[in-house]
Amino acid sequence: MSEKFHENMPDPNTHLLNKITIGQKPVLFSVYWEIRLALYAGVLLFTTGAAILIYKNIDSIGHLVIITFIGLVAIVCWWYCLKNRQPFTFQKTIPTSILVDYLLLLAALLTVSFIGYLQYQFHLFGQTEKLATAIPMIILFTAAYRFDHIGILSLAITNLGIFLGINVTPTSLLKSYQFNDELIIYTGVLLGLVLQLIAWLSIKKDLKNHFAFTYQNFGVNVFFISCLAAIFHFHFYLFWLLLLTSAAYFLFVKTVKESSFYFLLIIMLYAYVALSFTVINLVLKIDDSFSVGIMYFSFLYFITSAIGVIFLLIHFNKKLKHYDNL
Amino acid sequence: MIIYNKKWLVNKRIQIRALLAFKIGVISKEEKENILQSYPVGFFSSNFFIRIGFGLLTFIIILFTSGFLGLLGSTFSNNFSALLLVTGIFCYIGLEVMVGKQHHYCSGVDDILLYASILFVVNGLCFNSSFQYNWPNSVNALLYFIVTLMASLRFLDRLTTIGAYVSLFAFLFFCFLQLGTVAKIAMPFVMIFLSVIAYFFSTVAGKNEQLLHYFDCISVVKILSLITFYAAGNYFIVRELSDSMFQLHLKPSDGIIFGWFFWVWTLAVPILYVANGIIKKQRYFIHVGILLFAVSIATIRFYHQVLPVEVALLLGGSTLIAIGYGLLKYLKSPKNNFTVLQVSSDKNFTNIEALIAVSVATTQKMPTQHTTEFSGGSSGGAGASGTY
Repeated sequence: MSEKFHENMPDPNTHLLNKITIGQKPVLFSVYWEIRLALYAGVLLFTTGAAILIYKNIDSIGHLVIITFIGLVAIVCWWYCLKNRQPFTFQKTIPTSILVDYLLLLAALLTVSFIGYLQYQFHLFGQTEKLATAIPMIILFTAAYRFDHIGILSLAITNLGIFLGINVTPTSLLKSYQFNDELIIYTGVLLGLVLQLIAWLSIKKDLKNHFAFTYQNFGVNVFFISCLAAIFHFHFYLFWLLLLTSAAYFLFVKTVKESSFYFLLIIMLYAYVALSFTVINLVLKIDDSFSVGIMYFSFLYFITSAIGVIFLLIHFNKKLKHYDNL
Repeated sequence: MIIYNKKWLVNKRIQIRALLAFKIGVISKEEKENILQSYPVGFFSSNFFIRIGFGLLTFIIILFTSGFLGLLGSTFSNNFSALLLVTGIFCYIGLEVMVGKQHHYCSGVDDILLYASILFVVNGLCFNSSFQYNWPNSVNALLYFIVTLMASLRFLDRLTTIGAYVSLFAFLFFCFLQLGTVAKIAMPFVMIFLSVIAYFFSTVAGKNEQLLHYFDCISVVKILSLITFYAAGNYFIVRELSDSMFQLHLKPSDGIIFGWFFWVWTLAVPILYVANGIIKKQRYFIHVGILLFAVSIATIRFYHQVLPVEVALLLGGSTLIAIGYGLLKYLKSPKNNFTVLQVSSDKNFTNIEALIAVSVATTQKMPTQHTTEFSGGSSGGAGASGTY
């Protein structure tokens, strides 16, 4: 392809073009990502298999053997990770090998299944679920900070949500319609705010700076989804609408300053959903006969508002491009 | 033919290379800036996340525009295919304006407009108002092929290329069906033969500098040809497709003609792909081979439940972890130019230094690289940075 460049452009930059084309001849063939993928798929398959194995044999004679086996595998993995650990700092550390990353994930997942099984079968941590969810959570948070592992941190935050009574994995947040319970809505809003606070503190105090994104990601999503749920659920939702819009505005200004495209997008989309709900809800309050006029109005509203949001995004896309970042 | 500014397309390739070269430390910052300024790109492209947002919003607009049109006239509410056609034409006009005048390029708006206009127009042509096909299957496939091919030629899109490839194969499949019993038995071999033709076509075309702008689409065709080459002889596909297409009413225990051949094919082709990829150092062969190997395992499990699913999962997981561990240990120091070191990353400077040291040491005995390595790996902006 380098010849093509030269034919087209006989210009003073030829030597530079030469440099970038020759410089990129792949001398070495790296299988780094292939190995990562193999290990990741392996961990996922293994833990799924283990979970099915426990589930299928839960009341049979072999279950003690199985559970001992899983406990042993988890202990071996923890031991390997501890043996190959880096000294602890509050900065980002580079793991000694890729293998530690994935064995840690395997160990954490197996431990969660193991504790869950012990609770189910023997009620080891009392009759309530609180302690049984708190222990894996503590283990996961400790492991995440000790071994500096963002994947484990996500697991730990998910576990924190379960401990508080809500399921915060991104897909289940959207799928399940568990927001009819008002207590869950309040918990969700509060959890979202706390997670944002932790994200802010992580950066401010320089304690695992790179964990901030994960905290903020969970925080923003949980907060906005809980607010939206409140708007859909309560009859008088003006307070929640104001809370959502003010939070969206505050975060938006912050996001533009930090030039993060991802948060810019999700904040805008959440705000857009809230706005559209309010508009359609108000229109239906005025006239709930679903007449042709109402239909025309709502269709036109969606077309024009979506075009408006696109222009807004184009504006900010150009603005943020100057400091191209994630 | 191509709607985009061709000079910008070339410049974009140069810019991607320059950024990559800067990342692995081949050129200095000034040199990078120099290249970026000498080869400007005027496209409006958006960040990955903004692209998703644009896509969603464009989808909303198209959805409500079609609804709005449906409300407007009674002709549309009675004639569904006319509504589809008109919406499709609207989308296409929007696409031409956004790409031609506003210079959108992979911004999210143009992607969704392109796919929507194709789907609306083709389905408007193929369906009548009572949701039944207007034409026989072969004509439908031909219509799909013509529209997606034209779209690929004009917008250089990879997804429409996939559509064109698949619909071309469907068209040829339905045409051969007309020829009778011998054609039915020979069908897998015909499809294998066609895949071979597609592979050689893409290999030749991928070396032609005249088709520089189509290199991404051509590498898509190449990968698809590898997949159809395997799929045409996969036991599951041959058995179930012939069962449903030719009304054979097979019982679960029944075999098919040349059954042994298709079993050998199912097992051997993925392994040969991986072996070829390792020998020739072609990444897409390795990836496609591994993917198809997983498909082969699924095929075997579909007919012979040798192990309960949880044991199979545990065994498979342990094997994968063992393979990963073994490769990590084996390739700790590069062997035969394979390495576990991460190439082209700005995060791990120690790795890069080690890498450069090793590269210098091994350059002398390196055979010349295939140019296909480039076209195979550099699938668009996002693909290019990850593969080296």
